[in-house]
Amino acid sequence: MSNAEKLRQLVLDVFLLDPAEFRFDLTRDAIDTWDSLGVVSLSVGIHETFGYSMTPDEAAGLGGIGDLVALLDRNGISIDAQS
Amino acid sequence: MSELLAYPPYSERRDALLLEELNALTRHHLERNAVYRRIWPEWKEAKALEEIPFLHAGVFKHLRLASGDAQRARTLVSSGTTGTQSQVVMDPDASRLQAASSRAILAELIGAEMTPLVILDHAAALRSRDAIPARIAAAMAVQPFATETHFVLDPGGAVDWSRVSNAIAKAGHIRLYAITSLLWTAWLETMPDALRAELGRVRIDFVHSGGWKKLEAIRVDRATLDRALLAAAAPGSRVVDFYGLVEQNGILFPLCESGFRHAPLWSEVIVRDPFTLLPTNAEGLLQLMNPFPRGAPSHSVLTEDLGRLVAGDCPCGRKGRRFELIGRLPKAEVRGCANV
Repeated sequence: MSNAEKLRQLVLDVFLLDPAEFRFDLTRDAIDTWDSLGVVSLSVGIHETFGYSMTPDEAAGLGGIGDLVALLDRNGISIDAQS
Repeated sequence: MSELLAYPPYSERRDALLLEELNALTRHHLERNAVYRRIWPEWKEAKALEEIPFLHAGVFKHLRLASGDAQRARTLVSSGTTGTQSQVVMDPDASRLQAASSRAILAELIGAEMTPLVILDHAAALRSRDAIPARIAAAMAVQPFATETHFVLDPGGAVDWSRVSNAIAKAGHIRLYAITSLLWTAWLETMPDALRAELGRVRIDFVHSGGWKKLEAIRVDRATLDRALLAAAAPGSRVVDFYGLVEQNGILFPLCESGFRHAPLWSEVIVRDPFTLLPTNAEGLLQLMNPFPRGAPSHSVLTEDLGRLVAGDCPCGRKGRRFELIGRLPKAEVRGCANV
């Protein structure tokens, strides 16, 4: 499974989205379930899936999936959002 | 938003403001929840906290009461393996307030220092599509203070000690959350000796919640548990035991050093006579209230737990409402780990 697919599946699980709703340009405001539990779940999932530990500030500061992709990219985890 | 969250949790009570917020929340649920409206058809604005309508905790075992669109709302469930599980529908706005509440309460107890957090549970439980166990919600109360979070149970339910070892590798101070019985059975009884020696250099804030039935069955009392936990950690370590309900997520009632449970000023505890349901100063059923739940009308819940209000100032210095938790009402359905 590609990194993009792993990230997509994680986001679907964490935020209880239907597969058809997923887009890499989804913003935090567009996801009702991006709440405190969602943020924790996302942080833990990123650590388990990609081995990267987001700091609390990084997790709280994410504005959407695009920010997450960029953060992972800056930390050496490439997500091909076109795939 | 709740104005009450602007104040320290154990400062002078502001019951007029709490009443105002609870009245507004009752109106919110009546407008959005047909079942709640059928239960309280004649509601008139309460003039005192005792007049805020309540639901018996048992209602949440039989109905998924949603005040609004519950299609994609998270649902918390009590974690008991016996009995019927309670279900409480969450709301994103309420979730933020509940997180702010538990953060303020715990900061008062364990400080706001950021440390690694070890949780004796499975991370997968966070991502359940059906429902999130209440014990995970309880663990999340500690998470705002975490630099990193380590879930350390393996799929079989045993502690994966290598994960614990990783978590403490570079840390001199950590927080650990577990349900009470697991602290004894998984943490203390099965810990490898080598790790026990390693943990002796780490300051640990143990935070736990949940019933004592399993430990009482093996004759482990609170003093024994605390002593065993602190013996396996560095000096300065602490043990915090809190009481709460899945229906009242975000409200923690920690046991203070003087042996009492304290209610933050944004919650209320009323004791009701089990037979008349009238407020009483004697032992009775605990009714718990807070102004946060918007996803379900769980803002005022009559529990199956017995307690007693205690008047006067607490020697621990905290102001406001305090009470003794006595136990479950005899014949109340066993709820396993529901008491978070």
